[in-house]
Amino acid sequence: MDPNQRKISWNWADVWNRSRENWHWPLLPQPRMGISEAEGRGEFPFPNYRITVDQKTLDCGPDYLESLFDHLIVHYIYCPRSLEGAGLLALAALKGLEKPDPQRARCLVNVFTDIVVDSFRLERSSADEEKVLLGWKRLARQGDLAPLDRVVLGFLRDYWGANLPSCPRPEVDLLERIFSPGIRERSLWQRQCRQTAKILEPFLPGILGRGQIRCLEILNGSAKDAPLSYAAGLDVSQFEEVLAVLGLKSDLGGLKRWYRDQSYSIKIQERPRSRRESYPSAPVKWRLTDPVSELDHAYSLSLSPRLIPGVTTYKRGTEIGAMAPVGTAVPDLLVVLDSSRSMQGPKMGTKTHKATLAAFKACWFAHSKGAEVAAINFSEKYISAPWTRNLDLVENVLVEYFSTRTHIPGKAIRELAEERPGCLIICITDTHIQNLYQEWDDIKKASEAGDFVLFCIDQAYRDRHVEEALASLGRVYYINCLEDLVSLVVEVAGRAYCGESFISLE
Amino acid sequence: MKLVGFMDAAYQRTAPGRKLKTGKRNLIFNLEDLADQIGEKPSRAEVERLVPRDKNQLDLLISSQPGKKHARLWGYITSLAAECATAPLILPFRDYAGLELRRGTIIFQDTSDNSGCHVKNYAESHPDSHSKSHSEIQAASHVGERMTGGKILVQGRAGDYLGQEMKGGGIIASGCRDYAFRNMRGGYGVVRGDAGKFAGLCNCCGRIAVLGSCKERAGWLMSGGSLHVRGDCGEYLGILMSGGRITVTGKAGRRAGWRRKGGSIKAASYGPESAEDLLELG
Repeated sequence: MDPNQRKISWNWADVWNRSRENWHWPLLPQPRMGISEAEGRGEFPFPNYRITVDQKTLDCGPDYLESLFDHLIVHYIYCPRSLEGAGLLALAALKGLEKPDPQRARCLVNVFTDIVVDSFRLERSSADEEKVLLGWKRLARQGDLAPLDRVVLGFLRDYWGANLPSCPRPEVDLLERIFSPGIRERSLWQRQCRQTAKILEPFLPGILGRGQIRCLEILNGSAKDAPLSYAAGLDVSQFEEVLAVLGLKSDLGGLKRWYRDQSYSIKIQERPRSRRESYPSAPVKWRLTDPVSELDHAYSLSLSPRLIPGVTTYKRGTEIGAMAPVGTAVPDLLVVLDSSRSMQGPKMGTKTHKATLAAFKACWFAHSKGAEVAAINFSEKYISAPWTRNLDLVENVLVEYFSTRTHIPGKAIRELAEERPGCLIICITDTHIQNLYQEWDDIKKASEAGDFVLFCIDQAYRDRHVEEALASLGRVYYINCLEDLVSLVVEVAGRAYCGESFISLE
Repeated sequence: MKLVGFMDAAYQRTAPGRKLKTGKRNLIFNLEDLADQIGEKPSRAEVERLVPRDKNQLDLLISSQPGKKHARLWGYITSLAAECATAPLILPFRDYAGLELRRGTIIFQDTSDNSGCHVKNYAESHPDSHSKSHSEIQAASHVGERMTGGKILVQGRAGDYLGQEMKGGGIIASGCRDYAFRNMRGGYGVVRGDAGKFAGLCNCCGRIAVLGSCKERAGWLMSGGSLHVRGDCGEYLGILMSGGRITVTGKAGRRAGWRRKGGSIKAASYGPESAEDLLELG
């Protein structure tokens, strides 16, 4: 390493520690030296690691660097802080945009969070105020300011009463109105962000708002697994847009994550059934009315050389009480999911949506109980995941949507069921099965190998003959109301894996 | 050591920062923001609960462009503003203005009319509202819908559904289009010019006076109240009416009183195929 660079790196490491000390030592990883995003990709190889300082920033001096670090730290500890918070702001920005676009929304979320963060710092102490203004004044001195930057600077001048360049545009007053309730009320942030996006949209792009949205999960590399609770209220396209704003677009286009995040909010409240059994307690007197077999000779003789009934005779007393449940083997779970055209596809409120969501939750629950999981997704063709502990593999199968005719793959179901005798087979279909009788023998054998539970969604197409035939397979639930599907599937899974259960949907 | 001192020592507090000026926390930024919180078709009670009765807040919301999406919300806000105001409120003419008004006075000013009104009004403080085209002014429908009190003065021709389902108060308009005072339950309505079709449809109480003429089917299914028309009426006057009084100073069109079950109709003359038991004005 270049000795000069080492010297500088020592200095900025001190500055970083000073910033952390200012904010009570937040648990954030140490920044790394790299190339700025404008110049190219950072030297640091992991894309989730975003605190990167470049030479250009170091040249601005330790005061500016401390201000920058403070700013970043407050992003991570205050606004938007978490992925959930960032997602909600992204959603608000998308709603505020006339032409929703992830890039623009991201930029506006960044501008909004910058305003919140620096207003928060400004109010903290006079020393912080100086540092805040240092950064904004440096921005104001740049020659290539865009209209967006001018409007924001003009607003901050009025809002903070700071010596920043003024801007005579009416949008400055509008922004002042948006921020007039202050920035400390988190419940207002979404509304404020939406309005900010609406006001500033015509001025995009600018110097402000570049880069990724800063939140802890992205910084720590756990953004992929952090659940977003608002997924339940969004359609898949909206959810994908939010993910795109956060820079989390996955290979499956967010569909898998959409289902997974929704399933997090379905709670299974476990109530393991305790058994009541008798267990030995302290010795009690044996009387002549008690059976002779209960007399504990050895114990009685150890206390007295002579056995006098009712005086020196003892028996082992027993008590009856709740005992810990007996450990039972966990059945493996096979999910058979229909993805034919009649299931309507992966949109909010469709049969596919509810069925897949129920399947996700059942798989997750079985997996958490130590079971192996397999899945078959069928339409005219089918795909399957073998018995595995890899939930990702199963989920990849479940999210597929074929949208063709309904041909149940009886042989594949039988083969998987016979690999794990006694497994729980959850089959979710709308029962428009065109090859039911051709595959009947295989399905029958599969139901004999495991515990077959069929969920028939389409009540309107109920056929008496099919109904009678299906009833011989095992348990059959006819779903009148689609909302019940998730509850019933989870109920069945809950009963199989933890005895009694009931669910609550939040 | 006092708690403040202890905290300062623990957190090594330096000079305290200054507080930024903050306004009311329950500020609603615009109609879109309000709709976000209570939906696009809320009840008046929901709007009342959320919107503070603050003049600045109400002015801010009234000055928002409602479009079709937030027209109802805007209507409720105009009513709340009129109820809070001490002087008549002068507003731009838009759909659902004065929705469920309870008291107060609203004047919807025609931009072509420069009458000397000296009340402090919205239109003075918001010059944009004067720039509306005349066609937009004419298009405003549902004015004074479900009002239970107060007065609305429309200095121009109102659109459809003027005073629909009103239960009290009064509306005075220069003219109106179809379905004026439909399902009226009380109050009064005066149309100084001509009214469109179906005036007083299903009217069961209240008084309607049209100083010009009415088009067809005025007083259709009327069961109470009164309808007075100074000019002429179109065909099917008082069709299927079961109560109330209709007086037409001019001529009634054909089939007046067709299948009438009750109430009275008086007119200077009737067209062909009119009911036989109708009264002619002397």
